[in-house]
Amino acid sequence: MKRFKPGDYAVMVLVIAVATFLLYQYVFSSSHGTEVQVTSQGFQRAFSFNEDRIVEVEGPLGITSVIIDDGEVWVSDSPCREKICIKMGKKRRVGEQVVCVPNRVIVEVKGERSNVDGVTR
Amino acid sequence: MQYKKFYISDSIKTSVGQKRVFFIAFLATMAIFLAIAEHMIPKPLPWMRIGLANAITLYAFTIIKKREVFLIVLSRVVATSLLIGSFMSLGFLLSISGAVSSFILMSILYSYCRKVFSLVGISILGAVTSNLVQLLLVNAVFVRSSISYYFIPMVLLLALAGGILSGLFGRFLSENL
Repeated sequence: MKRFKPGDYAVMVLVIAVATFLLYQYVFSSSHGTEVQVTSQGFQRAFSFNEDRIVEVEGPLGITSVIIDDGEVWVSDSPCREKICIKMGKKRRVGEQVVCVPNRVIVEVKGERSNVDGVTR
Repeated sequence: MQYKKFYISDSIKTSVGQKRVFFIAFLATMAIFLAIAEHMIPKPLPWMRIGLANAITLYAFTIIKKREVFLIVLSRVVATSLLIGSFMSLGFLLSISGAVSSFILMSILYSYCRKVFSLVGISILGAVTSNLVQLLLVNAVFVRSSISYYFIPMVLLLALAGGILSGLFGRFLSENL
């Protein structure tokens, strides 16, 4: 009963591995969005993730193209100068957004939120 | 007339048996003291505890019999809940089920797997068992939803930290007391 034995390290590694695996599962694969809400000046509509399509939204500067493909949504073309909305990449989880500030376009992923919002005791 | 003796191996009338009873009572008192001292420390979450009383259980495994250790565990849980004021409440039922299940696992491990696990490993597994049993009980009996499964990773990590601490403390006791 002197020092650590091999089983101790095995148990520690196992517990950490199981906890990390479960955390990873909860955080990254729990809430896939079901639809995309596109908002612009005086325009708001939700598109389903089930059918692939290109949505062209008119803003103050011009037309922003939003592509919905294979469960992901991203901005492919925008008339704005910085092109930050294009660099924001592909989104698919509930609550994620792509925003183009100069062209006043907001793309948000909607869906049933399965994460815990709050706990009362 | 034949008596079956349950808890104490030597007769209580001999001085050896009396010393044994006093020693068991002393260990139970230490466990109660540690459990209540730990309860007094303010914690951010109610189930975030180290389980220092478990160190006494571990130390007891190394010197006295399993049934005497079980007596220590039971009296620790009951006396602590009486002193805190949660006797026969929800928390008491949870803590006694967690304590008994982790005692069963730890005594099996201490009897048969001592080559593989030291006291620290046994302590970690006991803490994990106690926490998981309490969480599953809450989920099965009281909440009836899958929300509390989100707590499993956190509970596992807390049990790991507490198990290592109380295992080291138990090893310190078994080497120095």
